Amino acid sequence: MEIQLGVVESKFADMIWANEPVSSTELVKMTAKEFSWARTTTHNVIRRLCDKGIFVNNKGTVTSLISRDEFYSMQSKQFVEDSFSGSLPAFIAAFTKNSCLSEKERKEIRAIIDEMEG
Amino acid sequence: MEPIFLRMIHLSISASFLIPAVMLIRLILKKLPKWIPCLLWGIVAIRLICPLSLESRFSLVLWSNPIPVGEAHELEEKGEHRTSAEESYSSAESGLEIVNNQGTGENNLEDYLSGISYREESARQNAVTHFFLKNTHILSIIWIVGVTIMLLYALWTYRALRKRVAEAIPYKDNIWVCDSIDSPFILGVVCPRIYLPSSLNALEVCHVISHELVHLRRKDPLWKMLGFILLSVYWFHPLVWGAYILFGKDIELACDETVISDMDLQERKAYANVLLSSGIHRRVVLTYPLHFGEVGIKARVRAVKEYRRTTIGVKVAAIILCIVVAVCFLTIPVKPVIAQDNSVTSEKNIASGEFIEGEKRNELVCLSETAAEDLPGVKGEKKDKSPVYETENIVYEFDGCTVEPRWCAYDGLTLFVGYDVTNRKDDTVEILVSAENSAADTTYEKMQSPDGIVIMNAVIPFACYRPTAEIIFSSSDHNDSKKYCLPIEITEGNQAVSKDVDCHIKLPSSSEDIHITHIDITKNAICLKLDTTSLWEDTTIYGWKNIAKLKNGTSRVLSNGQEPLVFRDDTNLYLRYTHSSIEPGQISEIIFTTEDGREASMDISSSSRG
Repeated sequence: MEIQLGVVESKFADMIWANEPVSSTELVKMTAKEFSWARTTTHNVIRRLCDKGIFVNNKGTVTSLISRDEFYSMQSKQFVEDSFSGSLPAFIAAFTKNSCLSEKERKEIRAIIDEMEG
Repeated sequence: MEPIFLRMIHLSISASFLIPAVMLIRLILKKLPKWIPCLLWGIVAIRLICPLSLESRFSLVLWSNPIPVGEAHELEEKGEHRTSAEESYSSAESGLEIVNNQGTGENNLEDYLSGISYREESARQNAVTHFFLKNTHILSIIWIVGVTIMLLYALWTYRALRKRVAEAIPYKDNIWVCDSIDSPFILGVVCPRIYLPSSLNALEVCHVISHELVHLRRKDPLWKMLGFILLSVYWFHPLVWGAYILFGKDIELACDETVISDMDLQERKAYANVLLSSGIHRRVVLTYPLHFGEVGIKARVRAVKEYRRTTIGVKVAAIILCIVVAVCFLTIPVKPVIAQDNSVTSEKNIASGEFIEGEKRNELVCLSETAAEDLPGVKGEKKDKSPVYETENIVYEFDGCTVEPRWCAYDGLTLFVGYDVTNRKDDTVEILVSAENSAADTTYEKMQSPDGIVIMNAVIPFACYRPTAEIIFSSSDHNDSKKYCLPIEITEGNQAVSKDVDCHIKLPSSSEDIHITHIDITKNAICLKLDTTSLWEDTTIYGWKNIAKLKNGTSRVLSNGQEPLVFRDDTNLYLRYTHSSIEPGQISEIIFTTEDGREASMDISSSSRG
């Protein structure tokens, strides 16, 4: 099971793990102070993390289903699987998903940089 | 709204010369630092915003015949004149400047001749302006809808972006980090925030931040927003879109230049590497929020490689270039003025004719393309086909009736006006029109419409050329003392020749010369001003038949072969002839023929001058 967490989501997850069990209102206060988040934003992220299966929101109290250590070890395993035995195209796609440059273009551009003289 | 629309169309036409020029300069002078094209785009923005133009001999704007704003206005009532700003705009900028008696034009032949060809060019332009004038209302509605759509789109994308970055975490000052964005951007103009994608590594973060901070320092969010507002206003203009896109690119490159201007070679190489490896999305920015699309990694890296510090010389050259561009494109060409001779001195003796004794002119090619009865005589002069003022919603109340002026056309010597009279009493009241300084009585044509409205067309002749006139409506019922004034100007498209001349024609019977001092020619009438009143009694002049000879060799009989109208004021006599739609500039000579066949000619084409 592959769970992706962005940097921001990770920070928030850390906040929950550090303070659990914690009420959502308490989380709202904390995120407002640290991140300047609106109430609705905090609730949205909580819901998303719960949907991803990491946490659960029980009548306003948020607790974790997976502990922090468990989660990060899962991430590493996942990474290794993907790198070596997972589908290669998917891996490359993930790696290059932020780039619009072809290999040829990269070579050309690198050549330009290498030619730079003072 | 319509006057704004028309002014904007006019501005976009002159921008159509400026923008390609800037694009060309940008292409040719690629090596220049990129803040220079940004300045040039600033000049484009000025052109698109500022409706005033100075005249300059160096102007490269080839089409500057603006759509006269006056036409789209409704005429105002009694006593209220248009504001002087509008007056000067519509009269100073309508195609060809009519000569006023206090005109300022240059007094030379070249201007006169170029005035003729300019007029032919502006006839073509007039066809387009006609299109805009006829469809102004619907076109301006379409335009406003387009503007609204653009602005709504910008608002919508702004809101969408704000939602996207709701989950951003503050990083430093006004820099935030967010998961759900792919490339860094600046959001907001008043309180701008830099948003970074969370996927940047440490080195990338450093350079991206310096790049974005430079954007903030150069106030790029503000300029971009201004640019987008202009784009919204000129959404229909493809060149403005091109300008906006290129402007966005130039901003990016200029920003890069500022960032690396303090770096040494090693740092610059590192910066270029960051650009390469970060692989930030290449996207052309079209939207208001500063979703700065990158220019293209290759272009940016090349720019970094080729960066050279600018010298003072380059800076000075750039400023000069901007001034040159501004002069060439923010100005409009000097309009040729039909020649006017203000001074009557003996050197300017254009024509002096004497009766040619004994010679009879045999060939009189009387070209009347229209049937003889169509040659306008004094009675029943038909209205010109040139554009007329349409008056709407003007209602004048008299005791016995209501008068609504419907249209008027004025070419300086003849004033045509059409108006409806709705009578309240059983007795019909006559509404008379006149104008100050008009030469003779108004002639009327009267028709009755089925629903009882009386439709009147009136012709008011003038003895000499006047650039403005006032139609006065008064009632024939002497108990009703109301009078209404409708001020009008020369209708666009009516050109005229108005010249001082110094022409002597000898009379056979007396020792006195006829001394013609001024001639006014419009498309329907010719007025000669004689500097004597003593001929009022002399019937000789009434018997003359006058012919106008045209530049193409043909001739026209004036006044349909009948007598001219003769008027007099304290010091002068005025002879008023009519003709049918000859272009004033086409008349080269006027030939006077007496009853017994003798003739004299008056040369008015000024081609005899050296």
